[in-house]
Amino acid sequence: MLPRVVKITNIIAENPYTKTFVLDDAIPNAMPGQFIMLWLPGLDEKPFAIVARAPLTITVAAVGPFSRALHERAMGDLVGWRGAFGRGFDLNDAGENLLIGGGYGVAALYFAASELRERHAPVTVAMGGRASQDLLFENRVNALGVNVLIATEDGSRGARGFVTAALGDALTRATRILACGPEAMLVAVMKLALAKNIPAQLSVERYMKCGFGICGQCTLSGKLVCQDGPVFTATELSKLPEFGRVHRDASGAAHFFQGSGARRI
Amino acid sequence: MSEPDLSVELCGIPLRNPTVLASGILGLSEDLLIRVGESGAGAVVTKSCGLKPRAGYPNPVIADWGAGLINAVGLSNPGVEATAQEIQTAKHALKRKNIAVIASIFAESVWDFGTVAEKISSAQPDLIEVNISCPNVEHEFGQFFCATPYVAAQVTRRVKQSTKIPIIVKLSPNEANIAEIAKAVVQAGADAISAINTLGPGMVLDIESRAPIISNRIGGISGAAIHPIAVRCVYDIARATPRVPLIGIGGNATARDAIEMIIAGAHAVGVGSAILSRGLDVFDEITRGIAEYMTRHNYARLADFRARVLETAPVSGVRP
Repeated sequence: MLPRVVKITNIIAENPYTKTFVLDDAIPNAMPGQFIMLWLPGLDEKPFAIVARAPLTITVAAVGPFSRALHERAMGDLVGWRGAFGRGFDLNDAGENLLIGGGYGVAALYFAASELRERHAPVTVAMGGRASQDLLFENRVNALGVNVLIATEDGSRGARGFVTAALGDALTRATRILACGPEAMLVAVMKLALAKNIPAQLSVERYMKCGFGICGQCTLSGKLVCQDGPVFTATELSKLPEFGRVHRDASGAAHFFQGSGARRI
Repeated sequence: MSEPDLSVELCGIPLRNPTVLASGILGLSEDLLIRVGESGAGAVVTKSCGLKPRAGYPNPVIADWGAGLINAVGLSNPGVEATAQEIQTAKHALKRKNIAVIASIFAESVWDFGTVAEKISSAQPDLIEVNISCPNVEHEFGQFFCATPYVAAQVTRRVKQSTKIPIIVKLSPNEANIAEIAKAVVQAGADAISAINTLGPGMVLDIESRAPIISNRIGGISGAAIHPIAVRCVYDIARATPRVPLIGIGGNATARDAIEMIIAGAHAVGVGSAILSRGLDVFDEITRGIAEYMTRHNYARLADFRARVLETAPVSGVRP
Protein backbone atom coordinates (compact mmCIF):
# COMPACT_ATOMS: atom_id res chain seq x y z
CA MET A 1 0.00 0.00 0.00
CA LEU A 2 1.48 3.35 -1.04
CA PRO A 3 0.75 6.43 1.08
CA ARG A 4 -2.48 8.27 0.23
CA VAL A 5 -1.63 11.92 -0.16
CA VAL A 6 -4.46 14.22 0.93
CA LYS A 7 -5.14 17.76 2.15
CA ILE A 8 -5.23 18.89 5.75
CA THR A 9 -8.78 20.23 6.16
CA ASN A 10 -8.59 21.54 9.70
CA ILE A 11 -5.96 22.27 12.36
CA ILE A 12 -6.96 22.72 16.01
CA ALA A 13 -4.58 23.95 18.74
CA GLU A 14 -5.16 21.70 21.76
CA ASN A 15 -2.57 23.04 24.18
CA PRO A 16 0.56 25.20 23.77
CA TYR A 17 2.48 22.44 22.00
CA THR A 18 -0.15 20.05 20.68
CA LYS A 19 -2.30 20.32 17.55
CA THR A 20 -4.98 18.15 16.04
CA PHE A 21 -4.89 17.60 12.27
CA VAL A 22 -8.02 16.63 10.38
CA LEU A 23 -7.36 15.04 6.98
CA ASP A 24 -9.49 14.95 3.86
CA ASP A 25 -9.86 11.18 4.09
CA ALA A 26 -11.44 8.44 6.20
CA ILE A 27 -10.18 5.19 7.64
CA PRO A 28 -13.42 3.28 8.26
CA ASN A 29 -11.98 0.01 9.57
CA ALA A 30 -9.47 1.48 12.02
CA MET A 31 -9.71 0.43 15.68
CA PRO A 32 -8.75 2.55 18.69
CA GLY A 33 -5.09 1.98 19.52
CA GLN A 34 -4.09 1.43 15.90
CA PHE A 35 -1.81 3.93 14.19
CA ILE A 36 -1.00 5.45 10.82
CA MET A 37 2.37 6.38 9.34
CA LEU A 38 2.14 10.08 8.50
CA TRP A 39 4.39 11.28 5.68
CA LEU A 40 5.60 14.79 4.98
CA PRO A 41 6.87 14.32 1.40
CA GLY A 42 10.58 15.03 1.21
CA LEU A 43 11.04 15.15 4.98
CA ASP A 44 10.20 12.04 7.03
CA GLU A 45 7.41 9.70 8.11
CA LYS A 46 6.37 8.88 11.70
CA PRO A 47 3.70 6.81 13.47
CA PHE A 48 0.72 8.49 15.12
CA ALA A 49 -2.27 7.07 16.96
CA ILE A 50 -5.59 7.44 15.20
CA VAL A 51 -7.92 9.81 17.04
CA ALA A 52 -10.98 9.51 14.78
CA ARG A 53 -11.94 7.48 11.70
CA ALA A 54 -14.01 9.87 9.64
CA PRO A 55 -12.58 12.26 8.90
CA LEU A 56 -9.20 10.73 9.69
CA THR A 57 -7.79 12.69 12.62
CA ILE A 58 -4.49 12.65 14.51
CA THR A 59 -3.15 14.73 17.38
CA VAL A 60 0.53 15.61 17.48
CA ALA A 61 2.73 17.19 20.14
CA ALA A 62 5.66 19.22 18.79
CA VAL A 63 8.54 17.26 20.30
CA GLY A 64 11.05 16.85 17.46
CA PRO A 65 11.97 18.09 13.98
CA PHE A 66 9.19 16.11 12.28
CA SER A 67 6.36 17.14 14.58
CA ARG A 68 7.57 20.76 14.57
CA ALA A 69 7.53 20.73 10.75
CA LEU A 70 4.03 19.29 10.81
CA HIS A 71 2.96 22.11 13.15
CA GLU A 72 4.15 24.58 10.48
CA ARG A 73 1.77 23.10 7.93
CA ALA A 74 -1.41 24.99 7.04
CA MET A 75 -4.89 23.94 6.04
CA GLY A 76 -4.86 22.81 2.41
CA ASP A 77 -1.29 21.50 2.59
CA LEU A 78 -0.69 17.92 1.46
CA VAL A 79 0.34 15.09 3.76
CA GLY A 80 0.58 11.37 3.10
CA TRP A 81 -0.64 8.53 5.27
CA ARG A 82 -0.73 4.75 5.23
CA GLY A 83 -2.38 2.37 7.67
CA ALA A 84 -4.16 1.45 9.80
CA PHE A 85 -1.36 -0.60 11.32
CA GLY A 86 -0.94 -2.71 14.40
CA ARG A 87 -3.10 -4.33 17.04
CA GLY A 88 -5.39 -1.86 18.76
CA PHE A 89 -7.37 -2.09 21.99
CA ASP A 90 -9.72 -5.03 22.43
CA LEU A 91 -12.97 -3.37 23.48
CA ASN A 92 -15.16 -6.47 23.56
CA ASP A 93 -16.96 -7.58 26.74
CA ALA A 94 -17.49 -4.11 28.13
CA GLY A 95 -17.28 -3.76 31.91
CA GLU A 96 -16.08 -0.84 34.02
CA ASN A 97 -13.44 0.76 31.85
CA LEU A 98 -10.64 2.79 33.38
CA LEU A 99 -8.63 4.67 30.75
CA ILE A 100 -5.33 6.07 32.02
CA GLY A 101 -3.48 8.61 29.87
CA GLY A 102 -0.34 10.63 30.33
CA GLY A 103 0.59 13.60 28.14
CA TYR A 104 -0.38 13.11 24.48
CA GLY A 105 -1.31 9.49 25.24
CA VAL A 106 -4.79 10.81 26.06
CA ALA A 107 -5.40 11.34 22.32
CA ALA A 108 -5.30 7.61 21.53
CA LEU A 109 -7.51 6.89 24.55
CA TYR A 110 -10.08 9.45 23.39
CA PHE A 111 -10.82 7.25 20.35
CA ALA A 112 -11.26 4.24 22.66
CA ALA A 113 -13.47 6.25 25.04
CA SER A 114 -15.76 7.45 22.25
CA GLU A 115 -16.03 3.91 20.88
CA LEU A 116 -16.88 2.54 24.36
CA ARG A 117 -19.50 5.25 24.84
CA GLU A 118 -21.18 4.20 21.60
CA ARG A 119 -21.44 0.76 23.17
CA HIS A 120 -22.92 2.38 26.31
CA ALA A 121 -20.08 1.03 28.44
CA PRO A 122 -19.17 2.79 31.70
CA VAL A 123 -15.95 4.77 31.22
CA THR A 124 -13.62 6.68 33.50
CA VAL A 125 -10.78 8.63 31.92
CA ALA A 126 -7.85 9.53 34.16
CA MET A 127 -5.48 12.05 32.62
CA GLY A 128 -2.24 13.46 33.85
CA GLY A 129 0.29 16.08 32.85
CA ARG A 130 3.07 18.11 34.38
CA ALA A 131 0.91 21.21 34.83
CA SER A 132 -2.63 22.21 33.90
CA GLN A 133 -1.49 23.56 30.52
CA ASP A 134 -0.15 20.09 29.62
CA LEU A 135 -3.53 18.41 29.99
CA LEU A 136 -4.88 17.29 26.67
CA PHE A 137 -8.44 16.77 25.41
CA GLU A 138 -10.08 17.63 28.73
CA ASN A 139 -13.04 19.30 27.00
CA ARG A 140 -13.39 16.59 24.38
CA VAL A 141 -13.37 13.84 26.98
CA ASN A 142 -15.87 15.73 29.15
CA ALA A 143 -18.15 16.08 26.12
CA LEU A 144 -18.35 12.28 25.89
CA GLY A 145 -20.18 12.27 29.23
CA VAL A 146 -17.65 10.06 30.94
CA ASN A 147 -16.22 10.27 34.44
CA VAL A 148 -13.00 12.35 34.32
CA LEU A 149 -10.14 12.29 36.85
CA ILE A 150 -7.23 14.70 36.67
CA ALA A 151 -3.76 14.82 38.19
CA THR A 152 -0.89 17.26 37.62
CA GLU A 153 2.61 16.92 38.91
CA ASP A 154 2.67 20.51 40.16
CA GLY A 155 -0.84 20.26 41.61
CA SER A 156 -2.13 23.13 39.46
CA ARG A 157 -5.17 21.00 38.49
CA GLY A 158 -6.71 17.98 40.19
CA ALA A 159 -4.69 15.67 42.41
CA ARG A 160 -1.00 16.44 42.85
CA GLY A 161 1.33 13.81 41.41
CA PHE A 162 1.37 11.29 38.59
CA VAL A 163 -1.89 10.23 37.01
CA THR A 164 -1.98 7.14 39.23
CA ALA A 165 -2.53 9.52 42.18
CA ALA A 166 -5.96 10.43 40.81
CA LEU A 167 -7.38 6.93 40.46
CA GLY A 168 -8.98 6.43 43.90
CA ASP A 169 -12.18 4.35 43.82
CA ALA A 170 -12.09 4.07 40.06
CA LEU A 171 -9.32 1.50 40.41
CA THR A 172 -11.35 -0.71 42.74
CA ARG A 173 -14.36 -0.60 40.42
CA ALA A 174 -12.41 -1.17 37.18
CA THR A 175 -12.75 -4.47 35.33
CA ARG A 176 -10.53 -3.30 32.49
CA ILE A 177 -7.70 -0.79 32.18
CA LEU A 178 -6.55 0.84 28.95
CA ALA A 179 -3.42 2.99 29.13
CA CYS A 180 -1.33 5.16 26.87
CA GLY A 181 1.47 7.49 27.89
CA PRO A 182 5.16 7.71 28.76
CA GLU A 183 6.79 4.34 29.39
CA ALA A 184 7.48 5.08 33.08
CA MET A 185 3.74 5.64 33.51
CA LEU A 186 2.97 2.42 31.65
CA VAL A 187 5.31 0.48 33.91
CA ALA A 188 3.49 1.87 36.96
CA VAL A 189 0.09 1.00 35.46
CA MET A 190 1.28 -2.51 34.54
CA LYS A 191 2.40 -3.15 38.12
CA LEU A 192 -0.84 -1.77 39.50
CA ALA A 193 -2.96 -3.88 37.17
CA LEU A 194 -1.04 -7.06 37.88
CA ALA A 195 -1.14 -6.45 41.65
CA LYS A 196 -4.91 -5.79 41.59
CA ASN A 197 -5.53 -8.52 39.03
CA ILE A 198 -7.31 -6.16 36.60
CA PRO A 199 -6.92 -7.04 32.89
CA ALA A 200 -4.98 -4.18 31.31
CA GLN A 201 -4.01 -3.17 27.77
CA LEU A 202 -1.16 -0.72 27.33
CA SER A 203 -0.02 1.10 24.20
CA VAL A 204 3.77 1.13 23.76
CA GLU A 205 5.99 3.33 21.58
CA ARG A 206 9.22 2.43 19.81
CA TYR A 207 11.21 3.95 16.93
CA MET A 208 9.54 2.74 13.74
CA LYS A 209 10.62 2.44 10.14
CA CYS A 210 8.49 0.16 7.92
CA GLY A 211 5.38 0.08 10.12
CA PHE A 212 4.31 -3.27 8.67
CA GLY A 213 6.39 -5.87 10.41
CA ILE A 214 9.41 -6.61 8.24
CA CYS A 215 12.26 -4.28 9.17
CA GLY A 216 12.48 -5.26 12.85
CA GLN A 217 13.34 -1.73 13.96
CA CYS A 218 10.60 -1.57 16.64
CA THR A 219 11.53 -4.85 18.33
CA LEU A 220 10.54 -5.12 22.00
CA SER A 221 12.20 -8.31 23.20
CA GLY A 222 11.36 -9.92 19.85
CA LYS A 223 7.79 -8.60 19.65
CA LEU A 224 7.17 -6.11 16.87
CA VAL A 225 5.51 -3.02 18.31
CA CYS A 226 4.18 -2.11 14.83
CA GLN A 227 2.46 -5.43 14.30
CA ASP A 228 2.19 -7.46 17.53
CA GLY A 229 1.42 -4.13 19.29
CA PRO A 230 1.39 -1.24 19.82
CA VAL A 231 -1.21 -2.44 22.36
CA PHE A 232 -0.01 -5.25 24.63
CA THR A 233 -1.60 -6.75 27.72
CA ALA A 234 0.04 -6.17 31.10
CA THR A 235 0.71 -9.91 31.29
CA GLU A 236 2.49 -9.85 27.91
CA LEU A 237 4.57 -6.84 28.86
CA SER A 238 5.58 -8.36 32.18
CA LYS A 239 7.34 -11.10 30.20
CA LEU A 240 9.25 -8.72 27.90
CA PRO A 241 12.54 -7.78 29.61
CA GLU A 242 13.06 -4.73 27.37
CA PHE A 243 9.75 -3.12 28.42
CA GLY A 244 10.49 -0.17 30.68
CA ARG A 245 14.22 -0.68 30.25
CA VAL A 246 15.48 -0.70 26.66
CA HIS A 247 14.60 1.19 23.51
CA ARG A 248 16.44 1.38 20.17
CA ASP A 249 17.51 4.35 18.06
CA ALA A 250 17.45 4.67 14.27
CA SER A 251 20.64 2.61 13.93
CA GLY A 252 19.12 -0.23 15.94
CA ALA A 253 21.46 0.37 18.88
CA ALA A 254 19.88 -0.43 22.24
CA HIS A 255 19.73 2.22 24.96
CA PHE A 256 18.50 2.07 28.53
CA PHE A 257 15.71 4.40 29.58
CA GLN A 258 16.96 6.89 32.12
CA GLY A 259 16.13 6.25 35.78
CA SER A 260 12.65 5.27 36.89
CA GLY A 261 11.59 8.92 36.96
CA ALA A 262 12.38 9.24 33.23
CA ARG A 263 9.82 11.18 31.26
CA ARG A 264 9.36 11.85 27.61
CA ILE A 265 8.95 15.27 25.94
CA MET B 1 8.97 -44.29 0.81
CA SER B 2 10.41 -42.61 3.89
CA GLU B 3 10.12 -38.89 4.60
CA PRO B 4 12.16 -36.81 2.14
CA ASP B 5 15.36 -35.36 3.57
CA LEU B 6 15.25 -31.55 3.39
CA SER B 7 18.51 -30.95 5.18
CA VAL B 8 21.35 -29.29 3.37
CA GLU B 9 24.95 -28.49 4.19
CA LEU B 10 26.43 -25.08 3.43
CA CYS B 11 30.23 -25.05 3.70
CA GLY B 12 30.11 -27.73 6.38
CA ILE B 13 27.27 -26.06 8.30
CA PRO B 14 24.20 -28.31 8.47
CA LEU B 15 20.77 -26.69 7.96
CA ARG B 16 17.63 -28.62 8.93
CA ASN B 17 15.84 -27.20 5.87
CA PRO B 18 16.87 -24.96 2.96
CA THR B 19 14.99 -21.80 3.98
CA VAL B 20 17.10 -18.83 5.02
CA LEU B 21 15.93 -15.48 6.42
CA ALA B 22 17.34 -12.93 3.94
CA SER B 23 19.48 -10.09 5.24
CA GLY B 24 17.78 -6.81 6.07
CA ILE B 25 14.49 -8.38 7.06
CA LEU B 26 13.81 -8.54 10.83
CA GLY B 27 17.40 -9.55 11.66
CA LEU B 28 17.97 -6.51 13.84
CA SER B 29 18.14 -8.07 17.29
CA GLU B 30 18.98 -11.37 18.93
CA ASP B 31 15.33 -11.82 19.98
CA LEU B 32 14.12 -11.42 16.41
CA LEU B 33 16.77 -13.77 14.99
CA ILE B 34 15.68 -16.36 17.54
CA ARG B 35 12.00 -15.78 16.80
CA VAL B 36 12.49 -16.26 13.05
CA GLY B 37 14.65 -19.34 13.64
CA GLU B 38 12.04 -20.84 15.93
CA SER B 39 9.30 -20.08 13.40
CA GLY B 40 10.89 -22.50 10.94
CA ALA B 41 13.88 -21.01 9.09
CA GLY B 42 16.89 -23.25 8.52
CA ALA B 43 19.24 -20.29 8.91
CA VAL B 44 18.93 -16.62 9.77
CA VAL B 45 20.99 -13.73 8.41
CA THR B 46 21.53 -10.54 10.38
CA LYS B 47 20.98 -7.07 8.98
CA SER B 48 24.27 -5.95 7.42
CA CYS B 49 26.60 -4.38 9.93
CA GLY B 50 29.53 -2.07 9.27
CA LEU B 51 32.43 -0.61 11.17
CA LYS B 52 30.44 2.17 12.87
CA PRO B 53 26.78 2.71 13.86
CA ARG B 54 24.65 4.28 11.11
CA ALA B 55 21.18 5.76 11.53
CA GLY B 56 20.36 5.25 7.85
CA TYR B 57 18.02 7.45 5.83
CA PRO B 58 14.89 9.22 7.10
CA ASN B 59 11.55 7.47 6.54
CA PRO B 60 10.05 6.20 4.35
CA VAL B 61 12.89 3.73 3.80
CA ILE B 62 10.64 1.04 2.40
CA ALA B 63 7.37 1.06 0.50
CA ASP B 64 4.99 -1.55 -0.83
CA TRP B 65 4.18 -0.41 -4.37
CA GLY B 66 1.84 -3.25 -5.22
CA ALA B 67 3.92 -5.86 -7.03
CA GLY B 68 6.88 -5.75 -4.68
CA LEU B 69 8.81 -3.52 -2.33
CA ILE B 70 11.21 -0.67 -2.89
CA ASN B 71 13.75 0.08 -0.18
CA ALA B 72 16.70 2.27 0.60
CA VAL B 73 17.31 1.93 4.31
CA GLY B 74 20.79 3.44 4.14
CA LEU B 75 22.53 0.48 5.79
CA SER B 76 21.34 1.46 9.25
CA ASN B 77 23.04 -0.72 11.85
CA PRO B 78 24.33 -0.40 15.39
CA GLY B 79 27.93 -1.19 14.36
CA VAL B 80 29.88 -4.44 14.28
CA GLU B 81 30.54 -4.61 18.04
CA ALA B 82 26.83 -4.39 18.97
CA THR B 83 25.91 -6.81 16.20
CA ALA B 84 28.54 -9.27 17.40
CA GLN B 85 26.89 -9.28 20.83
CA GLU B 86 23.46 -9.93 19.32
CA ILE B 87 24.90 -12.79 17.25
CA GLN B 88 26.51 -14.39 20.28
CA THR B 89 23.20 -14.54 22.14
CA ALA B 90 21.24 -15.67 19.09
CA LYS B 91 23.76 -18.37 18.29
CA HIS B 92 23.64 -19.72 21.82
CA ALA B 93 19.85 -20.08 21.57
CA LEU B 94 19.70 -21.41 18.00
CA LYS B 95 22.64 -23.80 18.02
CA ARG B 96 20.75 -26.43 20.02
CA LYS B 97 18.07 -26.38 17.33
CA ASN B 98 20.47 -26.74 14.43
CA ILE B 99 19.61 -23.31 13.06
CA ALA B 100 22.58 -21.50 11.55
CA VAL B 101 23.31 -17.84 12.26
CA ILE B 102 24.86 -15.94 9.36
CA ALA B 103 26.42 -12.51 9.91
CA SER B 104 26.01 -10.04 7.07
CA ILE B 105 28.73 -7.43 6.75
CA PHE B 106 29.41 -4.38 4.58
CA ALA B 107 32.12 -1.73 4.54
CA GLU B 108 33.08 1.49 2.83
CA SER B 109 36.48 0.36 1.60
CA VAL B 110 38.14 -2.92 0.63
CA TRP B 111 40.36 -2.69 3.72
CA ASP B 112 37.42 -2.10 6.09
CA PHE B 113 35.70 -5.25 4.82
CA GLY B 114 38.54 -7.21 6.41
CA THR B 115 38.34 -5.27 9.67
CA VAL B 116 34.59 -5.84 9.97
CA ALA B 117 35.01 -9.53 9.11
CA GLU B 118 37.68 -9.92 11.76
CA LYS B 119 35.57 -8.21 14.42
CA ILE B 120 32.38 -10.11 13.63
CA SER B 121 34.30 -13.39 13.74
CA SER B 122 34.76 -12.96 17.49
CA ALA B 123 31.04 -13.79 17.82
CA GLN B 124 31.61 -17.05 15.92
CA PRO B 125 28.74 -16.78 13.41
CA ASP B 126 28.35 -20.01 11.44
CA LEU B 127 28.94 -18.17 8.17
CA ILE B 128 29.66 -14.60 7.06
CA GLU B 129 27.72 -13.09 4.17
CA VAL B 130 29.59 -10.30 2.42
CA ASN B 131 27.27 -7.58 1.13
CA ILE B 132 29.13 -5.97 -1.77
CA SER B 133 26.10 -4.03 -3.05
CA CYS B 134 27.24 -0.82 -1.40
CA PRO B 135 29.37 2.14 -2.49
CA ASN B 136 33.17 2.22 -2.28
CA VAL B 137 33.88 5.64 -0.75
CA GLU B 138 37.46 5.47 -2.05
CA HIS B 139 36.21 5.36 -5.65
CA GLU B 140 35.83 8.73 -7.36
CA PHE B 141 32.15 8.10 -8.13
CA GLY B 142 31.36 5.80 -5.21
CA GLN B 143 31.20 2.78 -7.49
CA PHE B 144 29.66 -0.29 -5.87
CA PHE B 145 32.05 -3.11 -4.90
CA CYS B 146 29.89 -5.51 -6.91
CA ALA B 147 30.29 -3.45 -10.10
CA THR B 148 33.39 -5.17 -11.47
CA PRO B 149 34.75 -8.71 -11.13
CA TYR B 150 38.12 -7.20 -10.15
CA VAL B 151 36.90 -5.22 -7.12
CA ALA B 152 34.45 -7.94 -6.06
CA ALA B 153 37.39 -10.35 -6.00
CA GLN B 154 39.55 -7.85 -4.06
CA VAL B 155 36.89 -7.64 -1.33
CA THR B 156 36.58 -11.43 -1.27
CA ARG B 157 40.33 -11.91 -0.85
CA ARG B 158 40.51 -9.30 1.90
CA VAL B 159 37.65 -10.94 3.84
CA LYS B 160 39.10 -14.43 3.36
CA GLN B 161 42.44 -13.25 4.77
CA SER B 162 40.67 -11.80 7.81
CA THR B 163 38.60 -14.74 9.02
CA LYS B 164 38.59 -18.53 9.27
CA ILE B 165 34.79 -18.62 9.06
CA PRO B 166 33.43 -19.64 5.62
CA ILE B 167 32.22 -16.67 3.59
CA ILE B 168 29.27 -16.19 1.28
CA VAL B 169 29.52 -13.36 -1.25
CA LYS B 170 26.14 -11.81 -2.07
CA LEU B 171 25.88 -10.75 -5.70
CA SER B 172 23.89 -7.98 -7.31
CA PRO B 173 21.73 -8.50 -10.41
CA ASN B 174 22.45 -4.96 -11.55
CA GLU B 175 25.81 -5.61 -13.19
CA ALA B 176 26.54 -6.76 -16.69
CA ASN B 177 27.39 -10.39 -16.09
CA ILE B 178 26.59 -12.00 -12.78
CA ALA B 179 28.16 -15.32 -13.82
CA GLU B 180 31.47 -13.63 -14.52
CA ILE B 181 31.42 -11.95 -11.10
CA ALA B 182 30.50 -15.28 -9.49
CA LYS B 183 33.53 -16.90 -11.10
CA ALA B 184 35.80 -14.07 -10.00
CA VAL B 185 34.75 -14.20 -6.34
CA VAL B 186 35.00 -17.99 -6.25
CA GLN B 187 38.51 -17.80 -7.68
CA ALA B 188 39.29 -15.23 -4.98
CA GLY B 189 38.21 -17.66 -2.28
CA ALA B 190 34.45 -17.28 -1.76
CA ASP B 191 33.14 -20.45 -0.10
CA ALA B 192 29.57 -19.81 -1.22
CA ILE B 193 27.45 -17.36 -3.18
CA SER B 194 24.09 -15.80 -2.50
CA ALA B 195 22.09 -14.08 -5.21
CA ILE B 196 20.36 -11.85 -5.82
CA ASN B 197 20.43 -8.62 -3.90
CA THR B 198 17.68 -6.14 -4.78
CA LEU B 199 17.15 -5.19 -8.40
CA GLY B 200 17.44 -1.66 -9.61
CA PRO B 201 17.66 0.93 -8.48
CA GLY B 202 14.02 1.73 -9.11
CA MET B 203 11.87 4.73 -8.39
CA VAL B 204 8.28 5.13 -7.22
CA LEU B 205 6.65 8.55 -7.27
CA ASP B 206 3.63 9.97 -5.51
CA ILE B 207 1.58 11.60 -8.24
CA GLU B 208 -0.28 14.03 -5.94
CA SER B 209 2.80 15.69 -4.42
CA ARG B 210 5.16 14.55 -7.25
CA ALA B 211 7.59 13.43 -4.52
CA PRO B 212 9.59 10.20 -4.65
CA ILE B 213 8.01 7.87 -2.10
CA ILE B 214 11.21 6.77 -0.36
CA SER B 215 13.47 9.41 1.13
CA ASN B 216 16.53 8.34 -0.87
CA ARG B 217 14.43 8.88 -4.06
CA ILE B 218 15.69 5.61 -5.56
CA GLY B 219 15.93 2.17 -4.04
CA GLY B 220 16.26 -1.55 -4.57
CA ILE B 221 13.29 -3.58 -5.77
CA SER B 222 12.37 -6.87 -4.12
CA GLY B 223 9.43 -9.23 -3.95
CA ALA B 224 7.41 -11.16 -6.49
CA ALA B 225 8.29 -8.77 -9.31
CA ILE B 226 11.95 -9.82 -9.35
CA HIS B 227 11.59 -13.58 -8.91
CA PRO B 228 12.04 -14.59 -12.58
CA ILE B 229 15.20 -12.46 -12.77
CA ALA B 230 16.51 -14.09 -9.60
CA VAL B 231 15.86 -17.56 -11.03
CA ARG B 232 17.75 -16.67 -14.21
CA CYS B 233 20.69 -15.31 -12.19
CA VAL B 234 20.81 -18.45 -10.03
CA TYR B 235 20.72 -20.56 -13.19
CA ASP B 236 23.62 -18.62 -14.71
CA ILE B 237 25.69 -18.72 -11.51
CA ALA B 238 25.07 -22.44 -10.93
CA ARG B 239 26.38 -23.20 -14.41
CA ALA B 240 29.41 -20.92 -14.02
CA THR B 241 30.40 -22.21 -10.56
CA PRO B 242 28.76 -25.64 -10.32
CA ARG B 243 30.44 -26.94 -7.18
CA VAL B 244 29.87 -23.84 -5.07
CA PRO B 245 27.00 -23.70 -2.54
CA LEU B 246 24.44 -21.16 -3.69
CA ILE B 247 21.66 -19.41 -1.79
CA GLY B 248 18.94 -18.33 -4.21
CA ILE B 249 17.19 -15.14 -3.11
CA GLY B 250 14.63 -12.91 -4.80
CA GLY B 251 10.85 -12.99 -4.53
CA ASN B 252 10.60 -16.41 -2.89
CA ALA B 253 7.16 -16.55 -1.31
CA THR B 254 5.87 -20.06 -1.91
CA ALA B 255 7.19 -23.60 -2.10
CA ARG B 256 6.85 -23.33 -5.87
CA ASP B 257 9.17 -20.33 -5.94
CA ALA B 258 11.68 -22.15 -3.74
CA ILE B 259 11.55 -25.36 -5.78
CA GLU B 260 12.11 -23.31 -8.94
CA MET B 261 15.24 -21.83 -7.33
CA ILE B 262 16.54 -25.27 -6.37
CA ILE B 263 15.92 -26.65 -9.87
CA ALA B 264 17.82 -23.64 -11.22
CA GLY B 265 20.74 -24.58 -8.98
CA ALA B 266 20.22 -23.20 -5.47
CA HIS B 267 21.24 -25.20 -2.39
CA ALA B 268 19.22 -22.98 -0.08
CA VAL B 269 16.55 -20.33 -0.62
CA GLY B 270 16.39 -16.87 0.93
CA VAL B 271 13.06 -15.45 2.05
CA GLY B 272 12.58 -11.76 2.76
CA SER B 273 9.83 -9.57 1.35
CA ALA B 274 7.33 -12.45 1.46
CA ILE B 275 7.18 -12.12 5.24
CA LEU B 276 5.10 -8.98 4.63
CA SER B 277 2.28 -10.90 2.94
CA ARG B 278 2.67 -14.35 4.46
CA GLY B 279 4.03 -13.70 7.96
CA LEU B 280 6.58 -15.85 9.74
CA ASP B 281 4.68 -19.03 8.82
CA VAL B 282 6.21 -18.65 5.35
CA PHE B 283 9.25 -20.74 6.33
CA ASP B 284 7.16 -23.72 7.46
CA GLU B 285 4.82 -23.36 4.48
CA ILE B 286 7.74 -23.47 2.05
CA THR B 287 9.38 -26.41 3.83
CA ARG B 288 6.14 -28.42 3.87
CA GLY B 289 5.50 -27.65 0.21
CA ILE B 290 8.98 -28.78 -0.81
CA ALA B 291 8.50 -32.03 1.15
CA GLU B 292 5.18 -32.67 -0.62
CA TYR B 293 6.79 -32.03 -4.00
CA MET B 294 9.67 -34.38 -3.20
CA THR B 295 7.29 -37.12 -2.07
CA ARG B 296 5.24 -36.72 -5.26
CA HIS B 297 8.36 -36.94 -7.43
CA ASN B 298 10.09 -39.62 -5.38
CA TYR B 299 13.03 -37.39 -4.58
CA ALA B 300 14.81 -38.50 -1.41
CA ARG B 301 17.15 -35.52 -1.18
CA LEU B 302 17.24 -31.96 -2.47
CA ALA B 303 20.23 -32.95 -4.60
CA ASP B 304 17.92 -35.22 -6.60
CA PHE B 305 16.43 -32.22 -8.37
CA ARG B 306 18.96 -29.46 -7.71
CA ALA B 307 20.39 -27.86 -10.85
CA ARG B 308 18.30 -30.17 -13.01
CA VAL B 309 16.77 -27.69 -15.41
CA LEU B 310 15.51 -29.63 -18.40
CA GLU B 311 17.88 -28.52 -21.13
CA THR B 312 15.94 -27.24 -24.09
CA ALA B 313 17.42 -25.43 -27.04
CA PRO B 314 16.67 -21.69 -27.11
CA VAL B 315 14.49 -20.89 -30.10
CA SER B 316 16.77 -18.19 -31.46
CA GLY B 317 19.97 -19.71 -30.22
CA VAL B 318 20.89 -16.25 -28.94
CA ARG B 319 20.41 -15.00 -25.39
CA PRO B 320 18.75 -11.60 -25.15
